Amino acid sequence: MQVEIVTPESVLYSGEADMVIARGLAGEVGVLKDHEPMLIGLDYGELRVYQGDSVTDRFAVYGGFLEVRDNVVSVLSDDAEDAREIDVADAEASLADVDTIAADRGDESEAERLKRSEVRLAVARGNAGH
Amino acid sequence: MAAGELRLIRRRIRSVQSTMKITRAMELIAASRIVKAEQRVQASRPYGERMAAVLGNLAAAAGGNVQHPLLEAREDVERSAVLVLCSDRGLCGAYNTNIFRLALRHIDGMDGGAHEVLALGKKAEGFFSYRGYDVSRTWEMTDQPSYARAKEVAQHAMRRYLDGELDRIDLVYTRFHSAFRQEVVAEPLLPIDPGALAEEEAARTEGTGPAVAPDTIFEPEPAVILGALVPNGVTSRIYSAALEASASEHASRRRAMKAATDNASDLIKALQLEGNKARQAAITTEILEVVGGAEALAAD
Repeated sequence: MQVEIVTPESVLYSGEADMVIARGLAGEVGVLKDHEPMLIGLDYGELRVYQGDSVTDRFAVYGGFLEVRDNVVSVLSDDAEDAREIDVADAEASLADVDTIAADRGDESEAERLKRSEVRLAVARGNAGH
Repeated sequence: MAAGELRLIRRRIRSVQSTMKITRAMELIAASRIVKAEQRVQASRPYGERMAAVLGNLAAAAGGNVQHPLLEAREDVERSAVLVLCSDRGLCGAYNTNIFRLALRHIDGMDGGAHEVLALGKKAEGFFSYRGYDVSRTWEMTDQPSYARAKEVAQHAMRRYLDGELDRIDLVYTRFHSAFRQEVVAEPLLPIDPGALAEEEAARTEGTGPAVAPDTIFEPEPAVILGALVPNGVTSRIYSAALEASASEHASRRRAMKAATDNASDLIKALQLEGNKARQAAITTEILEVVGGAEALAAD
């Protein structure tokens, strides 16, 4: 099946793949060939592209949508990056920079930054965990 | 006398030369930016197209049941706005004038008693406030409009619409066809017409069956997805319009600066000719004086 990961600035991935696993708003979602048509919202999380049984590409996706139609998987996200392009030190620095106290108090933009930084670092380090 | 004239001409040549250096530099900068801006326009197209396709799909799937405040046209349009995309700086030929002219015509043709202008690009403010229009908000266009900026503009526009302060918002910008052809257009921004989106999508797929399979899985439910998608669609529209406007601005600036550089170089040629004549006249006068003086001595 065809997989495309598109952001407003660029096309991050476009090609054939055997499976895609993404973090949907209701939990992890796996898409295989001949999946039913689907349109789901994405949470902040890792997206993995598989060829056969092995992961070939990983992305940090910060929200967006995943559409499946006629064996074409389109991921539309405002903000996403290739795991290979995230620098671990940079991700650590930006996580340390987040004002966690404000985030705890319910400051939405700080909470979002915290979530984004955590996902970004997790993806950069190569573990899928949250 | 003649020497004084020569000095004046040389001074003018130097001044024109330094102006030419500036216009030449601006021309080269604009030329290099067109290429980058064009690449950004190309890079943003897949997202814009897919976003429109998904929205159109969803609208078509839901038929008339699409419920979203941004999709519903209001019966009574009391207050409307145009979002004008122009440049921050001048020196780009007729670029802004063309935009403002169409925007003015467009505003006068819009319904509702009150109009206002939202400006992405600093040049609009002076023009429209001078003519008595209310420029309620101005954002900087910058040389490379970012998605974050588009989002800021989109959020402002959507909030004003949802709060009922504005009943209709249109977009005026310059579409970039190529480095040689740009076109100022006015398009509706809000409310979004789901029918038009569905039609566009049908035209794109050339009517190959229903756009959305009836058994499509939605998660969360369609209404919630739509609520999240619509703002993204609006942002994406503004972002691609801003990129096209920016590419057009650089193309206009390059053209204007090329014309200015050519003018300067013609002017320098004409001044040099004049300067040569003045110098020759001065030399001739001097020779005549020397010869005259020598003859006067010989006569003694």
